[in-house]
Amino acid sequence: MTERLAPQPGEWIDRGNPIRFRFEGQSFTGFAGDVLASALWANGVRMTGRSFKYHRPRGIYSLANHDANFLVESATRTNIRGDSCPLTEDLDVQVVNTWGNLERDWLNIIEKFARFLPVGFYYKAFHTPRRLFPLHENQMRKAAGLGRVDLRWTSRHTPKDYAFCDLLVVGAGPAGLSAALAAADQGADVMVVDEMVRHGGSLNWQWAGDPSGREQLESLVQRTSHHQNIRMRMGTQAAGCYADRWIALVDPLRLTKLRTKALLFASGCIEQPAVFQNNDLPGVILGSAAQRLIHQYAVRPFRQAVVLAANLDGYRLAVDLHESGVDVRAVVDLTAERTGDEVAAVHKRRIRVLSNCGICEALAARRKHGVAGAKVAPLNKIGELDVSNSELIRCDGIAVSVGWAPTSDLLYQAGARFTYDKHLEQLVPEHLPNGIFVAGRVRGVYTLDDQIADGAHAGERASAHLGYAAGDAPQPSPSGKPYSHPYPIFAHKGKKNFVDMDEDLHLADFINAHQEGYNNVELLKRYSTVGMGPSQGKLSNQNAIRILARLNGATVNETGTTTARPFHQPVSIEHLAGRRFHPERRTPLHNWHKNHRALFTRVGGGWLRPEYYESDLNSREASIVAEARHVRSAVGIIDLGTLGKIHVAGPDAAELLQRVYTGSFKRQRVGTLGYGLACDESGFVIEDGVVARRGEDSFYLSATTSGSAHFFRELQRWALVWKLDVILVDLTGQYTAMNLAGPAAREVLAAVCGADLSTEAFPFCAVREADVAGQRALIMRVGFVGELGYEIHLPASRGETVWNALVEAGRQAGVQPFGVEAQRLLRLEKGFHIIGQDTDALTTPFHLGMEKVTHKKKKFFVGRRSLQAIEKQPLDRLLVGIQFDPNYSGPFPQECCLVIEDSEIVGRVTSIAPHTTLDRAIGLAFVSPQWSTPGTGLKIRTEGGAIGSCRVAETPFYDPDNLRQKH
Amino acid sequence: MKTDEENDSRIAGLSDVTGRLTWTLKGAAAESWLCERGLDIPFTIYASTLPDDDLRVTRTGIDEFLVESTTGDLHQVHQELAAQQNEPADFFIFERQDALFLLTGEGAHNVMTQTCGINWNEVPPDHLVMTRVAGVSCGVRLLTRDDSPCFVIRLDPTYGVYMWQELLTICQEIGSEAAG
Repeated sequence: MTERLAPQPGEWIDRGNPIRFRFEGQSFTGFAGDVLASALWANGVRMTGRSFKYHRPRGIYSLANHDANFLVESATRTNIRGDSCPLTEDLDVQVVNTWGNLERDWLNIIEKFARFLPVGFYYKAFHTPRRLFPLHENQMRKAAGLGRVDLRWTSRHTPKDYAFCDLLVVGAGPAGLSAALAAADQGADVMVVDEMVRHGGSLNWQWAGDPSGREQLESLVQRTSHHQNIRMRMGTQAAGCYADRWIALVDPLRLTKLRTKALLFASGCIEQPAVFQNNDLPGVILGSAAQRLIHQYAVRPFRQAVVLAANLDGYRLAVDLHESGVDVRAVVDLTAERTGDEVAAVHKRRIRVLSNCGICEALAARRKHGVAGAKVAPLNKIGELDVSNSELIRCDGIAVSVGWAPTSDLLYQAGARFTYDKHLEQLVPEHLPNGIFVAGRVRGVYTLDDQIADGAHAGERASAHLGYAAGDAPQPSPSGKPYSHPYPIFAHKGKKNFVDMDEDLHLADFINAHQEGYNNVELLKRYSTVGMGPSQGKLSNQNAIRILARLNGATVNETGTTTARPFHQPVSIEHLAGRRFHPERRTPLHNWHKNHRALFTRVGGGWLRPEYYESDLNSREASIVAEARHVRSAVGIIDLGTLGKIHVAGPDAAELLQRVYTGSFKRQRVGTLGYGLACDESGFVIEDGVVARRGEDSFYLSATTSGSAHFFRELQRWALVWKLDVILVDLTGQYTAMNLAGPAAREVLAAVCGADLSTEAFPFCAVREADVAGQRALIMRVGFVGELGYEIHLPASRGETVWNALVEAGRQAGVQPFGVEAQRLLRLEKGFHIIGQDTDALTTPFHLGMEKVTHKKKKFFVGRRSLQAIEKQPLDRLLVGIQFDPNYSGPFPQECCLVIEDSEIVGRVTSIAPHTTLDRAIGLAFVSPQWSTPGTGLKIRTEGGAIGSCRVAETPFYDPDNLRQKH
Repeated sequence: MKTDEENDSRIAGLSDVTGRLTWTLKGAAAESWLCERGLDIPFTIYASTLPDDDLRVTRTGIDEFLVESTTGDLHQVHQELAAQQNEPADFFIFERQDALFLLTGEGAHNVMTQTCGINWNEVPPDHLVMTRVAGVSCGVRLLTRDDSPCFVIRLDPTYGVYMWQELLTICQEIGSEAAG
């Protein structure tokens, strides 16, 4: 570690904890607390990446998580930012965006063709000949983009969580910490976030060379860390600001959804580059980056340096460099005269100051891997460099301190508006929405004492806004002098003066774009892609706007700014995905099924249901058909715990059902069942089920597995809208149900139920309450599977008792469980539709041939008016039965396959069963009315494209007179 | 007499207390039925009263109440509810089958922040909160006993296994455990 300095006060590294790591295949040593960039720099590595377009060598630039040209990837992750990646023992990374390696990147040859690749070249080139466009596109896609996605990588399920506070302070610098203390002292619950891993912000680097700055840092950290009303979250970025002060906080482990009552931005500023020839060489860095290297990581930035300054920060930087042993060859000041303690400190150290001068070119070292010198020239009266009088100063590093831009992304997202303050030469918030506050450099307050005072003032205003006591901290004025140069951009004939290093855009690109008519800030952004790279313009937008303003002959305010969308920094997809919740429902009999070799399927509503039970038949289809045959020939039992179960009672219960269902229920006799079909206001079918009348004012409804929750909400909604006096209770999870079906069902049930089950006493479509195996239950005689059947409904905890009793009682009759697939097959044989499978969002009762259950004489039911209008229109489709020849061996369609006639779509299969208890394959399909006549031949395109053939058939396919379920 | 929540002061833990007797009373006659038995009933929705050490009455609607045992013991009122055979049209009662979990200890808040979007600091003490936990509709009550939080999570029993697995996974991730 040749460039490591002696211990620095407040340094972040742990010298007692050395760490070995690998970069581009080479081993290095750093310390815990280092980031990859600082550890490499300490080892004398200057070139840490390649640029996006020209593959030029690049190094550290901001060291503030904005270095888009220093992206690396490990064996499991890509596009890791080297200037924020913590050093860990197993770190082994390579840079992205090279062909070859970092040292010898063959794509560097692109730079030689730079003159043929002006801004927007891809909009203009490659159009002719058109046949070559796919080739060009393929190559462009390969060349563009950063990092690679390895599909073998496995995802981490990162947690997501929620958090709340009264006041969120973004930024843990002097203003932010001061604001947090002021608000917390008044009683507010304050959270402070900062993407840096330590408190203090600029106190850690910009003021770290000043003993009073270190004292301030220590004091603020001490007070905030122990304040009971303050929560600190370091290493956490406020990634996005959304409606109602919903803030996305992202740390290395998780994404937090924070809801805050007020927001205070003390997010500071981002130091901005100067534009001159070769301003991108490794060794040209921002002054703040040099100070971070010195104070946070104890790394000497250069051996010999030139400082380009446009403010007092540059002078403070020069002193810091000098104190760390760097030979500061000159401070090149863009202004003519400057005074202050910092200036005096520079003079005291006999550092040469060149006032009213700028750098016109950084001289490249061998192969552009570093800096060999700075060409300095005086500024003329119009602010341009007089290169004819330039002077070459030998150095290996140039530190740039010419100005700042506010960290404004989240403020824009929060609804703030900015204006360019000509006095400060900086954008500052002009309008802040209610509950949003700012403090510190983001509003142009630069001296340390003023920042702390400004934070206190803003914190007290925020606490007053929250209803706590207002303090009396005075508000300091913004800085008296501009800390930013109005135009730190110097043209050079060499055309390698970069404005946007993410996208390799240089000054000439902007001039060319402007000449082509892109004189609007939004258009220029999209055409040139300025600000669209990984750092999202944090180091380029301000200069780009200045350039455009000058080209337009307008002010910055007249030129305007672009907006900022989430996220502030890139957020990994794994954070966005987070832990995934997929609620899953199990019936009370789940374990019984599991113990009896059920294979489960996930059905609507998140339910797990037995699809079928494994048997010795070695085939899913054979097992399903065997289960169905057993129901037809003996007796089967199925778990109906997933069915919707709804209690409706009260004086207006019948009225509610009368209005919700298409059929008539007011006159339904107590103790009977009815079929309920419900539509929405448009007349489209939404639900069906059985309606059991238990008493004059008491009903029990069943509803479909997938639709019951929605249907219950609809019942609640209508009851409220119509102000009906009803009690509605969703018993779906509280109750369970089972269906005992088959010729021997009565015999089996009779063994455990004392009720009279004779056809006379308990006919088809009747409902009775009776004890089954000692448990009070509701028994309904239904026929969904087309056999004698009893649905038994009772509280969930008693379900297994009754189920076991029925299985035991049916042992002699051979009762066997059957799964949902056998049930689907049995109902298909009866021609019964399933809502959601055989219907879609535009299905009316007419499409289902269910005019009979649509009582048009009723004055009202939901959807009646629409159905009256629809009825006058010609019917566009009908649900019909389809059957295949018993000896059919052609291609077999699946559900959703299309019915085709003369190359036109005339229908769609909704249900189909290749294997049945009958002698043929059957199904249901929607077809145009002209194709709905029984016996009509249909052609169905199968998945592979082959055509299968079948005929329209009458339904039910099985027991058309319904004798079996009624006997 | 201490309730289960009071007894449980472990650092963090997940317990299954499904099976505690709980009844829902719904309908215009519900309130009078409770008052006739001398039970103190809450005025505001989602507030609760503790008429006895082992009984909590929560108002879950204008005319809907939850009557639950806090200890698992059978209370006199539950016996009367069980014997209440007739269900007039303006009164419906049923014994709830809910899954019921206790999430206790210092780690409980961490687990809840990962599964539920409620700001518990703003929930009145002992209030029932109808919300979603891990994507499932639940009724959650935050009790504080001996400065230790205890979340009582009540949900549809058909989600019980799913919820237990999700909560347990998160508990284990933060170094906690099932507490029996």
